[in-house]
Amino acid sequence: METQTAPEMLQLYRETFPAVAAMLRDLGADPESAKDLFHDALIIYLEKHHAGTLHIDHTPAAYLKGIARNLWRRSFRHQLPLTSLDEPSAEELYYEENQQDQYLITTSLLHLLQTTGKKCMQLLQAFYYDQQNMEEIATQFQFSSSRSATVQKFKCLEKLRAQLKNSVLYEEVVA
Amino acid sequence: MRKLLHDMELTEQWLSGELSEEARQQFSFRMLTEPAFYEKVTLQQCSYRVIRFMARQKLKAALENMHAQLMQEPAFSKQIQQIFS
Repeated sequence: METQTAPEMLQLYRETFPAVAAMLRDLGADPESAKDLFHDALIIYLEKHHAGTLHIDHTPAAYLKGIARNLWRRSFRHQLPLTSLDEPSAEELYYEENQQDQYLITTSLLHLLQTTGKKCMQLLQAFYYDQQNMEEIATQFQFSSSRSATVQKFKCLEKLRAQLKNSVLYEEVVA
Repeated sequence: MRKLLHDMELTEQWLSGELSEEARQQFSFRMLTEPAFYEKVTLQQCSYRVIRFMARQKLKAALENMHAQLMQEPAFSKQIQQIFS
C-alpha cells in the first residue's frame, strides 16, 4: 500500500487548508470548526487514497473541498435519518460512524486499550486500517513467519471481540 | 482454538465478500440457526469499527500537531487569520 509520509502530509496540509477554510468560512464555519472539518475531510481523503478509489482527474484541493462541503451539510442534517435509496457516500458513512463512536471516548475505550494491549491494537491497525500485508507485518512485529503473524492477528481480534461483548457500542449495534 | 480461528477467518472472508456461493449459503444458514455464531460475527464487525475508530483518533491527533506546527509559520498563520478576519 502506498502511504504518504509526514513531510508529504504537511505539504498537502499547507497547500490545501487555506482554500478549504475559505470555502467553509463562506458557508458560515468558524476557524475551529473549519479546522475540525478539514481534518475529517483529510482522513476520508487518505482512506480513499489507501483504498485506491480516488479519481485522478481531481486535484487534492478540489477533493478536500468537496468532502468538507458534504461533511458541513451533513452536520446540519444529523437528526434526520438517511432516506436516500442510493448507496451512502464515504462522507455519510464516516459521519454516522463518527457520531455513534463518540461513545467510545467516554465509555469503554480506555478499558479496551488496557485489556487488549497496545501491541495487539497496533498489529490490528497495521492490517485492517493501514492495509499492510502479513509479510510486512511479520517483519515489523518480529514474527517468524507471516502465518505466525496471521494467527496472532486473529488472537488479538478475539481478545478485542471478547472485550467488546459488554460494551455500549455492541449494545447499540444489536439494539 | 483451531475452530475458533477458522470461524474468524471465515467471518472475515464473508464480510469481504470472498466466499463462494455455496460457502456463503452455509455461512448464512449458521447465522440463522446458531445464536452464538451470530453474536460472534456481529462482535467481529464491531471490532473492525473499533480498530478504524482508534486509527482515526491517532490520525486526528497527528493532524492537530501538524496544524499547530503550521500555525507557527508566520506566512501560513497570517493567511488563515485573514480568511477569518
